[in-house]
Amino acid sequence: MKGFVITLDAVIAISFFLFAIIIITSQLYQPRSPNDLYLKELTLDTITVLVKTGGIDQAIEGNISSVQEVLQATPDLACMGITIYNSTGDVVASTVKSGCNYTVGLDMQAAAASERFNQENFMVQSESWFKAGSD
Amino acid sequence: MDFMMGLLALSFILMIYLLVWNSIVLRWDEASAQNSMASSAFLASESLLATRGEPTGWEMLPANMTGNVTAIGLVNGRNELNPQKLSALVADNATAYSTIKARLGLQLYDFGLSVEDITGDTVYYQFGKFPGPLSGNTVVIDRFGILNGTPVIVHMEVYG
Repeated sequence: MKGFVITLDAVIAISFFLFAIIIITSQLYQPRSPNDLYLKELTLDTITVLVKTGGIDQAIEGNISSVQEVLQATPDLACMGITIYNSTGDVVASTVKSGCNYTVGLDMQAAAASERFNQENFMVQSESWFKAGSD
Repeated sequence: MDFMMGLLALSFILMIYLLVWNSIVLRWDEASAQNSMASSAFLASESLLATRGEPTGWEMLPANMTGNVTAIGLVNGRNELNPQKLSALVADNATAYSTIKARLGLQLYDFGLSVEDITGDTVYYQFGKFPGPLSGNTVVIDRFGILNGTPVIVHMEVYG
């Protein structure tokens, strides 16, 4: 009986040890996903394309449809918002992809570009994040 | 008797441990393979949309895929697609698909690329092989480009 108890004790100890190794190893190993990098580049692409095709100039003039069209064309998993500030820091135009909302605590990617229009300087800011439940 | 019972219990625990470990390793391998493919796809899209290629005028070369080209790029400036480069890429689809894959770092995978209007209704250029329904894991990358002054979607599907 004593031998059985000692053996059982050893077996329990070994099982704890082995499963502790499994748990620690599985926590340490985090495969690096390139999704954040992709989102960053998508944000840069959007702002570059909007600046170079005149979408930002149209938005400054009050026509935000080109910006919205590009935002709607972003992949389903991505949310994005564009805000344009004038040189005094006031918001000139702002829009967010439909079906997306800014929420506190989101892991965001941001990009900014400057734009000169009608002899005035503007700052364009783009922020993007993954739609909840898509990552 | 005690020894036999202990051995039995130990074997049982070791067996469970091995099964759990094996399933974890399989999941890691799967995640690693998927991430590796996603990274390659992303880097290929970056090469296409952020560089002119090497040499920069590769589309003008007569036999442009026969070792003279070391990198493929489709733009004049960032995101500004060059129609001549796109046409050259499409023209080489039948003869140099594998070479182009290798230049983009996608030699381990297959891929298809299309340049579409912003709504995705019209396809202007198409290159490579798109996956069928049974092609396994697929990584889809959508980027924005500018073609003839208008925004377009550069759609890539990498699989293998």
